[in-house]
Amino acid sequence: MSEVLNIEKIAEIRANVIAEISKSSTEEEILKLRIKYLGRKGIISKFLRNVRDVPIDQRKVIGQELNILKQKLEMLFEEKLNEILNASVNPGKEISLKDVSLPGRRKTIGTLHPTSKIVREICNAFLPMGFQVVEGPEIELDRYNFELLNIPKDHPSRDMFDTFWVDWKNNNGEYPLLMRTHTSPMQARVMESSEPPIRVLVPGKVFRYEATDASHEWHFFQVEGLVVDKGITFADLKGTVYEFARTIFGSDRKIRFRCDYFPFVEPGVDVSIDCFVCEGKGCRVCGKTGWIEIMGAGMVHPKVLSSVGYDPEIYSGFAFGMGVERIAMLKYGIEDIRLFYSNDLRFLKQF
Amino acid sequence: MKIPISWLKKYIKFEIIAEDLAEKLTMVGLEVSKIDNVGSNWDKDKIIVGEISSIDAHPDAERLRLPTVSLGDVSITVVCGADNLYIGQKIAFAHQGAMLISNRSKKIEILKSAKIRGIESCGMVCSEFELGLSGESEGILELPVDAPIGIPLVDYLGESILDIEVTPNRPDCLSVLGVAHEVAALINGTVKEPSNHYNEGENHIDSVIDIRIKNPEKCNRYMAIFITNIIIAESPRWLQDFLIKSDVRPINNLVDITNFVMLEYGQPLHAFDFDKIKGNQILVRSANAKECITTLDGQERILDSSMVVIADSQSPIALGGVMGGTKCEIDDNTTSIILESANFTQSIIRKTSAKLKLRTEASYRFERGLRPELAEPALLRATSLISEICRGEVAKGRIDINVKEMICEPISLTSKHISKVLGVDIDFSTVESILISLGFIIKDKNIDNKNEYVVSIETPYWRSDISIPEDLVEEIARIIGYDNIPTKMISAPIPSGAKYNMYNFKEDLRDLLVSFGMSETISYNLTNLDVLRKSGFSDVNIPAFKVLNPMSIEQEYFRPSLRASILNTLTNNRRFVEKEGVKIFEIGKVFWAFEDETINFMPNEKEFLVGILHGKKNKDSWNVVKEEMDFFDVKGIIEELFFKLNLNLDFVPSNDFMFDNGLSANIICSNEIVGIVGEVNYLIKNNYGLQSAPLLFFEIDLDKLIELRKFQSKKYTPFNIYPGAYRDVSLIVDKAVQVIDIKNLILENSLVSGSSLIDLYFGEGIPADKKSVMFSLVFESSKGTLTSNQIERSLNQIVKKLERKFGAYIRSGIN
Repeated sequence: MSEVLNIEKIAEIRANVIAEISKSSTEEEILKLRIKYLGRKGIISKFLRNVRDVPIDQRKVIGQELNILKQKLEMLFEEKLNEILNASVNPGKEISLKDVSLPGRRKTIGTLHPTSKIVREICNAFLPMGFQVVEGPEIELDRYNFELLNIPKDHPSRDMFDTFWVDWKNNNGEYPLLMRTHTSPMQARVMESSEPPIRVLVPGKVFRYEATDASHEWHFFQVEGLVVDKGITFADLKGTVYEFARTIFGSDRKIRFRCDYFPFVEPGVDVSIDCFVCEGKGCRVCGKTGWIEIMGAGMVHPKVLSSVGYDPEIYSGFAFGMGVERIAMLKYGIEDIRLFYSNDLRFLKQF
Repeated sequence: MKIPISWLKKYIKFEIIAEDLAEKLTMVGLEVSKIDNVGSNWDKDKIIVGEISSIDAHPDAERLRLPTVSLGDVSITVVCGADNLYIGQKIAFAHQGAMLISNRSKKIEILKSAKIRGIESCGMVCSEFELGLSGESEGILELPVDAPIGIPLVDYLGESILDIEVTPNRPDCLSVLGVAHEVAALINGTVKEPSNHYNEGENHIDSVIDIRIKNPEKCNRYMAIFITNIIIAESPRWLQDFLIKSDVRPINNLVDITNFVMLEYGQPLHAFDFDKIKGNQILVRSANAKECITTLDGQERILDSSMVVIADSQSPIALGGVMGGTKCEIDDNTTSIILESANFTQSIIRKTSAKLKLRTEASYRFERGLRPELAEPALLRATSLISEICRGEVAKGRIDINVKEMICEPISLTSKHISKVLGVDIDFSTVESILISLGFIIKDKNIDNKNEYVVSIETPYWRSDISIPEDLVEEIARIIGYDNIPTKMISAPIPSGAKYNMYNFKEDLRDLLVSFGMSETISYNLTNLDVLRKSGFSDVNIPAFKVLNPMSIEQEYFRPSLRASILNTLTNNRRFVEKEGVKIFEIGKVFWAFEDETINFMPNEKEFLVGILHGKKNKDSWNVVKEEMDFFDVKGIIEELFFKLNLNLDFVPSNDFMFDNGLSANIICSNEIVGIVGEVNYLIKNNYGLQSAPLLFFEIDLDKLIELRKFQSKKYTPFNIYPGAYRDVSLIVDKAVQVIDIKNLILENSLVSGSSLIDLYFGEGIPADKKSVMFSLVFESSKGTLTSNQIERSLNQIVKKLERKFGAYIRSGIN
């Protein structure tokens, strides 16, 4: 062979190939180039065969250099081919691919209503403590909404529950149906239909005949809880409520239990947490008291137990009830309760 | 209930500041909603009690005067524009630098010295408005003659008034003494009851009046005292002050005393002008039907027999327990009175008050249930005040009828019961001291050496809310403080038997629908007929019933369907239709009434799911499909929903009034119609002013669906180990042939395991009454890999069958 094979020659070939690769733009050109250099009769193969003609002292070095060049070229051809193939799959896409700020094809899912979300959070906080979720009718009988809960007819504690009555008379000429004013009637229904032990949660809509404003709705949700068994005490009530409040509001919240009155419990409790807006100093959210009421609770009144046929000497229990929107408003910083059921997607889609 | 601290301090000594007391009362169940601090911004050095020692005329202004105010050690002359000044008058004087409410700006400002018409005025004589005592300014504030000169006004007139929200079980706390007993328990102090001493004259009450109860079921006790030679006048200042601070308007000494004692004891009292009582007799009886009385508010009231009246020999003189009548009203000329202290049956008073829409301080207390025992101390207290303040002479003796119900059984309380309720042992000394400080009387106690005790306890005469041991346990717990009762976790085992129910089902549905991109909405249960008509109901098919006392006619009917609810929601969100489309659902109750008159009738309350898709498929963006959603989007949601719920599913054409002809289908599950899906018709869309995009709707009866779900549980199907082969087949059929029928026929072939429609075409190149359908078929067998011969044979059989049944033929010319 006339060509001299030395280090300089190898460097020259390397430079030529790189220039030729960068000039090529099609798959075909690259494949041709590859044959030209790396093919069985290609330049590199030819040189490799000719290594034996190189003087013995340089033979080893030249051989190594040629092999390195061969590997390098294989890599370069591969890269260039990939580049060309990529571009050809979606011509004109180079531009878009290079602007990663372009919005993605976002996968959107819908949103749960904030009330459903909070109901679920509340229920989930109690489920590990062995509660089961049940629901009850929204139109109730006076008997369940009031009478069995130690709220007799013509009793002033009925003033605590402004009631919508259903326009339907029974054959005694009474109006026995109403829109339930709380989820508590399910206490009586659950106990009437099953034997202790009981550990249930009752979420649902309730209704109060009252004018609406930023903090009052005539239509809202409550979650009721009821535990009845042998040996249930006020200390158990406190422990259960503590556990719940910590799960929902965080473990650094203070929880306050104070005496309150609900006809169907004795002793009765009002549960508050220290205001997380002002850290208990007093602000608009907590009405300057530093405390936010989150639920009413108490030990099930012995009259309620007897009225559903449970023996209050054997069984005891506790019950609690809380307003869902109020908790949602606190958690999300919503200032107007009327937003909940006006169904504006600008509101709903935030959750 | 307004409780001035100074009044409270007449019965119980304490040094707690108002804020701390409010906090303590709140914790034991008397929620203090507000503390009114009268004079909290009166600077002790700047606002002082003074006396007008002389008054000079202003040389340059007829309307202004120059009073000199003596403050004890100094005298200051100021300029004053008020015309109710006189020498010797006690007033509130403000030095310059005092913070007062400005007459001009109505805001608190610093008082500066000023030259008024040429005369320097350093300080001023204050009006009630400037001191913040009243909303209006009528001359200067006049203090009682005995006001000590030179002391800070705040020490003389300052006051904190607690506003307590009394729960319905505690009528005793609708009185200052009742609250005093609570304070006593909190500080372990003792209440000093007020004096009720008076002297009786010679004349006996029985000789002047005959009092009887005709209807004892309505009146538990009736007490009366006869007082003569009364002088009606203005009440003393201290009495007026207490009434004003309690939001009661002073009238005259006699009426004020009855009001004062009501606020003091919680027992309503009434005074009748004796000279106006006809026939020297009083009868407590049921009202006669249509009987009339003019009550003290000047209203003529028509009564019925459920009500109780106090009547003389001719007609009612008071509506018992609610309000007196004008007939025997106290006036300036009254000299003799019958003072009544009675106890009326709580439910009677409540019903009367509700029927007449007349709620008074008296009815409010009686309907909460007062103890008959309370009538006596209150009557004696009022008599003592009347004899002192109105100079009345009290006749001998008193009327006291129907005392038989006053036996109050002692309650037995054991240490076991306390720990059973509270979960903690409370030692006897604590229990004893709490109950005694609250006024309970320990009748009998047995304590054994293990500190187990049995006590018999009598409730004090002012408490009507204590009847069972649990009530006593609450008393003990609240005074110890709920925060001091330990916290435990329920130790009983978790009850078994939790079942999948409607709540779980709805939660599953919510998650699935949200994952399909739909947002949940919740709307009101009440609606009106216009809204229902708008959503397509005609009057004959509205199965709706009503609320007896709706808040507005907008929300009068129970919704018989969720259709109108979700259509309204869509309409309120129409701004989204163009840009991103609306995908919403609601899960809620609907209500159907039917004819039934049984006592425990409940209307049919059913759980439904509705959904709407309307507008763009995607939110507008540079690289997304910009089409509008159509019927097959909503149908696809139903298909995936039922698949994920493991429910079988079929669709058959429906003719529901809400939909366009031909584009709606009943949703069938296990041969039952469980819902409907379709494109809402033009008329309804037009009612809501909605745009041209298809309005897609579905509705599912969840009560039905959950029943079907109960019978279906998911089972794993092993997949075939032999590979399947795919063949596409393109057919031309009549347009009328339903795709599902072709598909089912294909699936009849034993080697076909799957068949899906992958293309549908009609138009150019196809006869006008035909369509082209392309199915992708999967052939496989569990017995082995199929040969191409087997597959071709099957395919031929299928095509022949389709040809026979539907006149289908293979589409040629394309491939």
